[in-house]
Amino acid sequence: MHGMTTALPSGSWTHSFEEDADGIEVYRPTATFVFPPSRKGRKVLEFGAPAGAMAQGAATLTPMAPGPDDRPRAGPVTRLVPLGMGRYALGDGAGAQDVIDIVEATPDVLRLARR
Amino acid sequence: MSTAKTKKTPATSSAEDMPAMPVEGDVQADAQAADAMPGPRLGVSYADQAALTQGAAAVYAGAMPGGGMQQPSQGMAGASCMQVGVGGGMGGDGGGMGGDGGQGGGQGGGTPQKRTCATMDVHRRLLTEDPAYANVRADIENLAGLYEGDASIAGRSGVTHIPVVVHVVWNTAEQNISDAQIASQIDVLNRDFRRVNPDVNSTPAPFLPLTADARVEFALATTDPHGAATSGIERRQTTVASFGADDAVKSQATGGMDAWPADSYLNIWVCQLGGGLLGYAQFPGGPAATDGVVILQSAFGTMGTAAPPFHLGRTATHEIGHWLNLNHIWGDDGTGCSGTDNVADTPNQGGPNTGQPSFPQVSCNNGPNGDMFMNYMDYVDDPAMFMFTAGQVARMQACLDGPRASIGTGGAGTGATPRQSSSSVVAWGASRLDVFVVGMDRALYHKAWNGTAWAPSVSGYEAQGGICTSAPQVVSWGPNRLDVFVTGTDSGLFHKWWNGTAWGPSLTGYEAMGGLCVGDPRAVAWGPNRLDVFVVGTDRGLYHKWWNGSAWGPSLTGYEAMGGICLGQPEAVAWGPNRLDVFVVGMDRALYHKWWDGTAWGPSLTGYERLGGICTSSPKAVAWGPDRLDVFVTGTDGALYHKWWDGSKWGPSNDGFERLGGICVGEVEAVSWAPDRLDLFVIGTDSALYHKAWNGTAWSPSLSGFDNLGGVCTSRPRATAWASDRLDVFVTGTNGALFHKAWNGTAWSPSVTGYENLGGVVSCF
Repeated sequence: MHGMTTALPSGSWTHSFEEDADGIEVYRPTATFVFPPSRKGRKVLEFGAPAGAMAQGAATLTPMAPGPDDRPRAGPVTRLVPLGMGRYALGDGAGAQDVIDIVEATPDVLRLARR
Repeated sequence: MSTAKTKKTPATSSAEDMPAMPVEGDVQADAQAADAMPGPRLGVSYADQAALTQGAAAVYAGAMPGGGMQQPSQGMAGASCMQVGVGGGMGGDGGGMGGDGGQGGGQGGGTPQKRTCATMDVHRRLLTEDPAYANVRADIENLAGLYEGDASIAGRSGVTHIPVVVHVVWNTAEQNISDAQIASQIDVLNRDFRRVNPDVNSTPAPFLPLTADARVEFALATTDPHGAATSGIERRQTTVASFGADDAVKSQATGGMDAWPADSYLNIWVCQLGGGLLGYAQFPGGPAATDGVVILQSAFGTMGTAAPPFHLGRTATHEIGHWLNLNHIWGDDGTGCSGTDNVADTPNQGGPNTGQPSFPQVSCNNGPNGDMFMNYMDYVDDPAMFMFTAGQVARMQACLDGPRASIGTGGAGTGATPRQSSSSVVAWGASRLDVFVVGMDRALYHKAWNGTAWAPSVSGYEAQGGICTSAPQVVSWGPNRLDVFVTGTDSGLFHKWWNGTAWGPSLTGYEAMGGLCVGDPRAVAWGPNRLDVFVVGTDRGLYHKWWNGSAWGPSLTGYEAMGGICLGQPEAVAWGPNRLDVFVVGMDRALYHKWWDGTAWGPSLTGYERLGGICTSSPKAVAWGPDRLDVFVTGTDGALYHKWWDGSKWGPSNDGFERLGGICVGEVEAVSWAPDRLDLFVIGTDSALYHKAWNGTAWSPSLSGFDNLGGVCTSRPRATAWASDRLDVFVTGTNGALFHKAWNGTAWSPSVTGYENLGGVVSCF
């Protein structure tokens, strides 16, 4: 891997699941990437902007998925807590934590692995 | 009502008694001008009268004015048959049950309860952010549940034809899809929703018997909302490169195109969508301005820009499934096994399937057959989805009878909403008539037209027991379903019903429902397995009770007090599910109105909206469409008067009336066999039957004129319309027999002024 692997991404990223491989989920910029149509919809990750460059835990992640009427709907907002080495914890408020590894983050692509 | 010289029950009537009704050629009113009823005299216009009253637009939050204004000098035209004095109550189930009838006390004893609907809980959790929408959705779900349990109650027995408008919103020239591509999509819908798509035969054998015809067809609209001819396609170039799922495409102001009225058209927007979105829908019950479906241009139709694997038009099939209230087949609970699509004949399923799976796909212990992934409401590719189930069809038909009752044509019969007030005559389906009369022994008698013959015979009747003190009031909430209400000698309300197989509680028995009633009860069914009954109590107040599908509210014998001081009989109609409009005449003889909006009574539980006038008949109301009401009364000059609610206001004014001429005796009858169509029947001073009609543009034969339909009538006219351009009218003659005439679309039979003699000696009709 190469690229800016340490910066927390921002903005809206949509799951380009056709590019997933080897346990790595690939996301592309929601607004600019031309996605092939998908009946099951695509997850969208909305990264809230961190309050400052060194802010801890200020970013949020909002998963989007198709709702009962096929409109993308926002799931619960979770805080994104940097753990270091490109790893982030998704706090659900109930104690349980998912950890994601951002293995690549450039303006064009976001690759992450779920642990 | 006439009094016959011989006491005979209708059931044993023969032709021996009484001269028949005048037949064609009898001159009763021929000397009168064709466009006016006999004895024209000037009347005071209701608009003028209204001007004399104060508080033109007032809504009386309290009771109606009880005095002050003139007292009725002649009373209301008598509708009921209140002979009193014979002991005993109604015949009960299996025996005399006068005692039963007295139980439960008067209507005042009923504790007013908040009216609640036996409704859903599932969707409510999702919809807490908008309580009004949640309530609407809950009612829709309730109706769907009823249909799911018994698909035979669907009011639209045939195929519903839905007009479609396609809004093509394009940015690049390629997105401006051709008329042919649009036509290819309509063709797909007409195959998929009629189960004539060839690939339905690819359904795996275990699921094949479940596949069903949804009985819906689609056609590009030929008339636009302004009445002009249209192709059903409209186009706009937009600067928006791609739309999201935020409804922007549905508004001119945000780069899209405005919806056509959702109560008449299925709106389909075709555009470029971002994020790989194929389409999205709006469930019934939402805002009209955004109602319809949105489809990606390259997933629309089967040609042009349509691209695999979404090139068979199934995106629109899927989205219109949502529009007709279908849920995703896996239950929208992620990949869990606890979600439901509210349809019984689809297997429980984990999450969505995608691509083109091979059979079987087992989840949630649903083996051996597994998921019904070939259902249109899963997420598989177009070539892999090809069926709806019977349960899904029931759910869609519930939607068409309920929240989308106004859309489309072709669903015949009275099962479709809106529903009219009770009468002695009802048609529960095409070519079906049920007529109830009270005989000289005051028992209830019934006869029916089954499409080919009268049963039990032309002049015979089925005896149904009881001792009735009111005209029979019958409603039908579904095919082959009848609910009859009468009052007994104890002034209590009594009920019996036909469930398609048998009379309940028995052929001659009645369910005692308490109360002390004055005059005829009035009933209306706003939907399947729903009944609302209104009576006037001995205190002249209005009282209400209801059947919610499982129980009588507020109790079997209790009543909800609704205030007011009523003259004559109440009138109640339902222009849509869970909607009621009730009209009464107050002590000042003005017309008053109250309504149930699904949540609460307006203007209040016991309050009324004053609509002016000085009425000499009970009100007769007709709802020919959603949010549409037409009310008719006679005035002090005997003329017929009309006012209407157009969805936003009362016409001609809040307290004004349109004068329709004539000098009417007794009560007014009004029916509607199509939107914007009204047929009115009155009895003239010569006792002949008179008719006039609104054809959507004008009154026929004229604003103040009537057509003479002959006869010497001794009862009010009762009419029903079981199909478009079909009318059946009933009256009693001087011999007490029941007489009938019918309009078949081209002519009156047996003739313009002639009648069919249906026998009997009727004491109350």
